[in-house]
Amino acid sequence: MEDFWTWNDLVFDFPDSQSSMDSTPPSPGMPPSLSPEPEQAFKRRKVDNGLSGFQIIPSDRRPIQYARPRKSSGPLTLRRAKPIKSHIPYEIWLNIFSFCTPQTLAKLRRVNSTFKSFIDDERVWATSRRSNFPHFPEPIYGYPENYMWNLWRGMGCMICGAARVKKVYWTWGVRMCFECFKDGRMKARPLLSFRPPFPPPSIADEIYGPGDFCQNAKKCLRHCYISGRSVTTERDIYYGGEPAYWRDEVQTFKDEYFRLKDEDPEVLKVFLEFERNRTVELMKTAKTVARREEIAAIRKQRNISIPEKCKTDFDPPISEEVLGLMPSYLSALRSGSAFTERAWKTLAKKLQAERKGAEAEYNSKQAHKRKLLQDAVDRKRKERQKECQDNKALQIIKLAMENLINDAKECVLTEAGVLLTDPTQSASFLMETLGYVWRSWHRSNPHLPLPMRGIFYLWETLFAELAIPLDMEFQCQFCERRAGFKAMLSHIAEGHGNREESVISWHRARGAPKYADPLDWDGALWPEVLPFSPAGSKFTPRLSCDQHWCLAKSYPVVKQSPGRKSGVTTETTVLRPRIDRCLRLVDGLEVPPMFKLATFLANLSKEETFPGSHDLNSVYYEILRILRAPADHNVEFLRSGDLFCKICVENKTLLPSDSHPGSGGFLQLIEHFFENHHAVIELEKPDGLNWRKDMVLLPGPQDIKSMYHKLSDAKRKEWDRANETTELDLESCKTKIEEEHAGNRPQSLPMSQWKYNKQVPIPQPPPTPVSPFRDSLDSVLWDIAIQMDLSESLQA
Amino acid sequence: MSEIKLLSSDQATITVEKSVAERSILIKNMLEDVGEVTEAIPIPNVNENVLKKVIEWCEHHKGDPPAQADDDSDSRKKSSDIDEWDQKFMQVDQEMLFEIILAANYLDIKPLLDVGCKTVANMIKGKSPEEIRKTFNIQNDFTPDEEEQIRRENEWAEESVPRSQPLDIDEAC
Repeated sequence: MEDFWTWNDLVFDFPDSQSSMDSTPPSPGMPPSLSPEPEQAFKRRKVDNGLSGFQIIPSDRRPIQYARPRKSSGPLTLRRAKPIKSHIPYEIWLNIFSFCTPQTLAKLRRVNSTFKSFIDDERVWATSRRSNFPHFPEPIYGYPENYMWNLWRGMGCMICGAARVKKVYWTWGVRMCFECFKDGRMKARPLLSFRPPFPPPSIADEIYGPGDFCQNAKKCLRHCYISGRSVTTERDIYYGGEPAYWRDEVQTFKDEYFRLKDEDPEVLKVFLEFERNRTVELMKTAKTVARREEIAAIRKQRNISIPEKCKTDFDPPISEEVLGLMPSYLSALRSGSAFTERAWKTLAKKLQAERKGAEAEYNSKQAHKRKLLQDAVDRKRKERQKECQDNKALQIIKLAMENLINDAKECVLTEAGVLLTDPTQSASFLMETLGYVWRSWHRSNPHLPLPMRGIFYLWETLFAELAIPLDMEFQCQFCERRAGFKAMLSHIAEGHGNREESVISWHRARGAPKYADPLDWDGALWPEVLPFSPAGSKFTPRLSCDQHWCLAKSYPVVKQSPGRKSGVTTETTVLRPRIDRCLRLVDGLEVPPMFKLATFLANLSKEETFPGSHDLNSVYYEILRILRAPADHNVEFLRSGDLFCKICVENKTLLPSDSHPGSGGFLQLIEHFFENHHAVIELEKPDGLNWRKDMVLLPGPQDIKSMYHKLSDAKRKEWDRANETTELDLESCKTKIEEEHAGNRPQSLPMSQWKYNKQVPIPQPPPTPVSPFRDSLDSVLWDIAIQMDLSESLQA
Repeated sequence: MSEIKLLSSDQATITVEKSVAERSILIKNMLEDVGEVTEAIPIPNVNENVLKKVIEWCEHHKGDPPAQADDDSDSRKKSSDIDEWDQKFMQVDQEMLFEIILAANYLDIKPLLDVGCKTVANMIKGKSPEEIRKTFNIQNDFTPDEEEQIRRENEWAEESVPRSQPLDIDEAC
């Protein structure tokens, strides 16, 4: 047996439990079979046989204290009390003990060696256990009852001494902390003196050899099997009330054991190893789960009680915000040990030390936070202010735009009669309307830019309804782009609207998907000059600005033309009465249309009070309007032919007869002029186009002369009278005509008979070179008829 | 109803009813063995006072149903489970109490023995070892070392167990 470390050696550790019994003789009435075996001779025993008993005296009497052990044997007699005549026999004590709880028994063990010897009988404990804890399982195989109670009720790790450990590893019969368990500090211990009364020599010893970790587990399992009961009720509690004793393991073990024990002990060892691992695993899991719950509870309690303590125990109390900045507080919250008064004291010292720094940090953080907040508020306020301004501007624009549309509507309604299917005339109307819109806008809102959205509205509300031919193309004045009207609007807004000081689009600032138009209609501005003109035809002239913007591709949008004269905005209203006046002058004349036209044009030139202020489009448009709605004027003369393009004649440019506006009226001439000569003149005369000078060539003198001669006297006088105001020098004209008539000079071909042909540079009949006379005559006539330099003289 | 005589250790003769006397298994068995006896039955271990006390108890409990053999766990379970009359009956000095217990043991009166033992157990209950020693006038024959050793073994049973000293296993060997 000395070579074997058995289960009992491992778990049972009462070095003198047996020895204290051996010197005690059995009580008189004690049956020999019940008395403990005096196995070993004993060491230190001060009390002799017979003296180790006890005496009973009435409790109301003073107990007798023995100075030293008495030597006599036999019944005790008390000096001053009536002695109990006999010993209380062992059975009676057993009976008494059986009514005591195990706890009481444990205390009785300490009373006296005799008591101890009585009580160190497993049957006493078993009886006590059964009567007091009838449902408590029998101790594990090999455990003394006392030891089991110790395991169950005791505290502290039995290996390292750590306090508060209540976990009992019943398998190994030891109560220990998890660390010890983990480290496998279970050690087999040398053979002790105690031998349990249970039959120890079992198969276990034969099979397992020296006790080690694994074997002990096996023995325990085997015991479980033998007793067929739960190992521990504590385990049940531990697993939440589940019947968690190892019945399965026991069963498995049983099967395996009986199957394998005769065959191969080695297999059994493997099996045991497996069982051990499994047990360890179980233990770990259980431990982890329990510990986690425990820690959660502890932390919850700490979370509540520490801030409270901080409030009550400190003066002034520490606020939770400050606490949150203290490392010791944070680590204390994380701690898993129970929060005791002592722990609080330790923590309080740390908190006191850290308090100042934490408060400073807290204040600086708060200040930082306030600053951030303030910044955000300021930023927001600025945004709101800007927004309000924008809104205000938008409101103004919106109001103004209503007026704008009203104006435009008025314009369109009164002038819509000119709208024809002819794209050229429609384009003229459109351009004129846009010009009018801009002028009226500028008049009513001198400091407000016209947003592109206004023009876009116009398009949507007015122009689109007016069935303006959609195939009309427009040419951007700033680049080479050609597009339809709407596309051109977009192009201008996108590429040429000045956004620098634009009103931020109110809607886009909010990112409303409804207004997800990529174009910033509100931000883009309508240029002061017409940004585009009908494409393919140069008909629509540039606006009559002093600046030569038309050549600059990247011309910046005009904000406010510095040279713009005040009368410009009322151009149309000025032009119309002038034309009316001129028309009235020729109204009553019964003369050929050519005369009328000459008179009219002369008068119109005379009406001009400043140079270059009337763009040709306006004139064209007014003429067109008058022709469509003649009102009370006879305007048929405006349709008369025989007007020639001066450029063409001067340059001797021969044009195909069908394209020459020989039979066309004034309007055709204007169209022709712009289509064919506009760009050229632009380049040659950067000062701009003066249509009065460069465009019209009236019929030649002979024609006029012949016409004049054909007139009746009354009519001749009438015409003369009409010419007085125009200062047409008819006399000199007459003279020259007569000279010509009397002279030998060959008659020049009337201009009306000129044919322009590209193939034949000189028309038939081959003309004599243009005579100086004729040239002079022409020029004289021209000077007289048109007063082309009237404006220059006026300027001078 | 026949009567029998009992002779106490101090030669006093007490007459009791046979049915009362037969609460004692010892007397009952003896009567069964011997048959009718006319002379007093000697009860050598019990003196007159004690015998009277025992007979008093037997008379009071003569109508009790005989204890079942297997009611061990139930009736004996609680040490405090003593009926009122018995409690009063047991309010005697310790010497008498133990005499009664011994007599009950000798006469083999199990219920009385239990009542006595329960009373003693109640006296023990809740007392520290020192108090128990005083109560029963028992000498402590342990050396301090021994007592400390035992105390540590049974630390779990102490009322307040603030902290457990580790069982120094290696040293203990």
